[in-house]
Amino acid sequence: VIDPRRFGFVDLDEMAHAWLDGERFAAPAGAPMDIAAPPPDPLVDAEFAAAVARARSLRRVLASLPRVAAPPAVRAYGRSLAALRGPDAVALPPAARLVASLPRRAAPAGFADRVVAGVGAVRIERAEAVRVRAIRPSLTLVLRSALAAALLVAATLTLANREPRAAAGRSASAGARFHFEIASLRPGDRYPAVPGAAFDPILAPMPRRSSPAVGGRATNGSEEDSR
Amino acid sequence: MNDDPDFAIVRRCQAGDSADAEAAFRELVERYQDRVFNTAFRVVGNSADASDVAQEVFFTLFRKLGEFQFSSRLFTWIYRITVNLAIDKRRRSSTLPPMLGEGGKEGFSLGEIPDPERDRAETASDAEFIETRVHSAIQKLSPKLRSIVVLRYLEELSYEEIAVVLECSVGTVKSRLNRAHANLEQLLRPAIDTLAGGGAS
Repeated sequence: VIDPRRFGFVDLDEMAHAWLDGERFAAPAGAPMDIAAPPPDPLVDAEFAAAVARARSLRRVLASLPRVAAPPAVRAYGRSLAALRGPDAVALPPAARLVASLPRRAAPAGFADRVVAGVGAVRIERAEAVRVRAIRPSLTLVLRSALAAALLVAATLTLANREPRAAAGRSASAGARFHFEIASLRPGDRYPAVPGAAFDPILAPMPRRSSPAVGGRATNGSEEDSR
Repeated sequence: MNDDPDFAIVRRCQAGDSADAEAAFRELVERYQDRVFNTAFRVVGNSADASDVAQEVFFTLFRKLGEFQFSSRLFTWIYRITVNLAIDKRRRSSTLPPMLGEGGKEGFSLGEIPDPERDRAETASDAEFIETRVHSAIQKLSPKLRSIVVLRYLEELSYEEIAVVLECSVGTVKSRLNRAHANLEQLLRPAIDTLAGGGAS
C-alpha cells in the first residue's frame, strides 16, 4: 500500500496528478513495490492506478472546455484602440464601449465611428473615463431595475462631484458633458437627436432633462453651466 | 528571454507615433484578444463582464506598453493583467444585482448558475453538458483557484509560467491546484461517472 505522505503528498489523488505531470517518485525504503520504476507500466498498485485514472478523467473533462473567442465588440475595440495615439487615447474606452453596447436600432450607420472620432477630439480626463465606465453596466443591462437606476443616479452625482477637480479648460468640460450625454442614452434614443445631424461632441445638444452633472454645479467655471 | 516573438512587436509599438506602431499594436491585440477574452470569461463567468475586462486589459496594455522592460515574457504580463482585472471585476460584480438581458449559456449571471442536469435532460449534447457543468463548477471555486485552473487547463500554461503570472511560488501553484482538483473532483465526479456510464444524449 502506498502511503502518499511518505512521498510528501497529502493523498493519493495529489500524487496521481503529480504523476501525470511527469513527476516520478523515489521509492521509499521497504516499499512493497517500486513506483519509481520507469515506464511502460509502473502502476502496479490498484489504488494508485485508480487515483491516476480519476485524475486523468478530471483533466480530460477540464481540457474539453472549449475556448471562447472574443466577440466582435472586443475585436472592434482593439482595432479602434490601435488607431489612437497620444493623450486622446484615454478617451476611447468608455465611450467606445458604451456605443458598442447600445442596441443596433439606437445607433445609425457610422454612429460609432463618429463618436470615436469625436471623443478623440475632446480629451476626456481619465478620472471621468473611469467613472463613466463604472456606470456602463447599469446603462446596458441593469437599467430596468429600480436599484440600477439608483446606482446610475449615484454614479452621475459622483461624476458631477468630481468635475471641479478635473483639469480646467474647455476640453475637459466638453468631455464630461459628452460623456454624460452618452450615458444618458436609453435603448431607442438617438444621438444626436436629429437623425443625420452633424456630430459634434462639444456643440451637441445637452440632455433634455435637467441633471446634476450639467445643471447642479459648474463644470468649467462658467455661469452658463451653473445655471 | 530574448527569443520571445512578442518582443519585436513591442519594440515597434514603443517606436512612437507611426503607422507601424499602430499596425504593431493591432497585431498584438489580434494575437491575444481570444486568449484574454477566454481567460476573462472563465474567471468572471459571463460574456458581458469578460468584454469589459478584455477592454480594460488592452487599454492598460496600450498605456503601459511603453514601460515594458523586456525582463519577462509578454504573455505572462498580459495574463497577469487579465487575471487581476477579472478577479476585481468578479468581486465588484458580486455586489450588483443579477444582470438582465443576458440570455444564453454564456450569459448567465453569478447568482443563477444553470442547472446542468435539467439542461442536459432538455437539449444538451454530451459536449454541451460537460461544458455547462464544468463551467459552473469552475465558477464555484474561489477566485484564486479558479484562475489557476483556467491558466493550467484552458490556457495550458506550465506551473512555472503560472507562478510568474500569479507572482507566487511554484509550490503555491501546486498546492492551490491540488485544492482545486479536490473541489472539482467533488463537483464533477457525478457528471463524469454519468457520462462514462452511457452518454448523455
